[in-house]
Amino acid sequence: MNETTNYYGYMRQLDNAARASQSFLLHSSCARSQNYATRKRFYRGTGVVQSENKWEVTLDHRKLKTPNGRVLALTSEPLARAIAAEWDAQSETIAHPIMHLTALCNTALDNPGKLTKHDIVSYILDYFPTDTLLFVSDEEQELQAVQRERWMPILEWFQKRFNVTQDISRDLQPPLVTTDTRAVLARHFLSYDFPALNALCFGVEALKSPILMLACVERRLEPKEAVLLARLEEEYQLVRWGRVPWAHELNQAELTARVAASLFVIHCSSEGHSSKTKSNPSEHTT
Amino acid sequence: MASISSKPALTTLRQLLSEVRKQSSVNKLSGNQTVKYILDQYRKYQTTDQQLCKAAEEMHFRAKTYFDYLHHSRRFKELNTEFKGKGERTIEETARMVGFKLPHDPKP
Repeated sequence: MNETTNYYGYMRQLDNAARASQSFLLHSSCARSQNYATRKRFYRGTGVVQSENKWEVTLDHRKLKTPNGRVLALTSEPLARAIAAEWDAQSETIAHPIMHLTALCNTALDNPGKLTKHDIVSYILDYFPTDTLLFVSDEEQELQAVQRERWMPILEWFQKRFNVTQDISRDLQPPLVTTDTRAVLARHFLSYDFPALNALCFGVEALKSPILMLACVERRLEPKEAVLLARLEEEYQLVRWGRVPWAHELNQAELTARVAASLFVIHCSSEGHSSKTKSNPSEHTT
Repeated sequence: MASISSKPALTTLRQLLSEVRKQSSVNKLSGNQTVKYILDQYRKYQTTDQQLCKAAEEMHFRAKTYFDYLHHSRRFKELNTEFKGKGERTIEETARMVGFKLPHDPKP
């Protein structure tokens, strides 16, 4: 009997070792979306309807609701259509964790963290001194040259656009951000409405860089390019050590999807009134 | 001056439609509401791009952003299903991996 237990114990150890090496190999972002409660697709078609001046998404005549039970009502038609398309793209199961557009709009409506615009702005401002673009490598000369070549134009654009000066860091210490810069950025961020600001924060966290996100919002960079700049060191190391699809490509795809989703939400929600006047009323049918 | 009927804008349109075709549950593109909306938007900005060239550029940027979103979220899904872990192995499976058998499973 004792022998059997030992045998099982040994097998379990082996199994644990095999699992440990496997999870070491698998990138964390891969493991993160592995186990979540899945739900079968319970609807056939999706569509949008307009009620008053809001747009709502329908799944087979039922209205799509947020997790808190509110009807997902959007001010922007393209956004509503994109969300309908996103739900339509689900095959057998609904993959909630990667439906970023839906998630961003849900968060903006429900506001689970009970945040105000000022909370988000002060969060982004606290993030700002640790912006990726402000930390140039001081160990590898070659990497440093690449970073200077690719990052400096964006940093220059940023300084010119907001009329501020920003130092970069020489070591691990975050560079100094003047109160002037903080004030200018705070004013700029507060000009967005809550859904846009929420999306902006999501994008900043994906890129680890408020500057790159602002460059995207102002159409200086496309999401793909911004993600490349944010992952510049990784890309540099890949050239030497090789590219692994389940780590690097997965990461790249995830980040690009996140940044593009947040950018789409920002551009849709900040457009609002200006283009409303142009649209033809006869087009407003589902 | 970028125009919505310029070549890069049309390339984006083509990419966008191909991505929608891959993801949509409806097989025919002609019956798809999203496609109809995208084409309507392209047409709308085509007629006004002389006066509103900035808006057309913004539209093109938004189309590119949307394409990036569709493309990369699909790519992420594909990679994830291809490489994701299948969960824990059973003790028998682990034993088989290293060429062992469990005691109650006698050797032939």
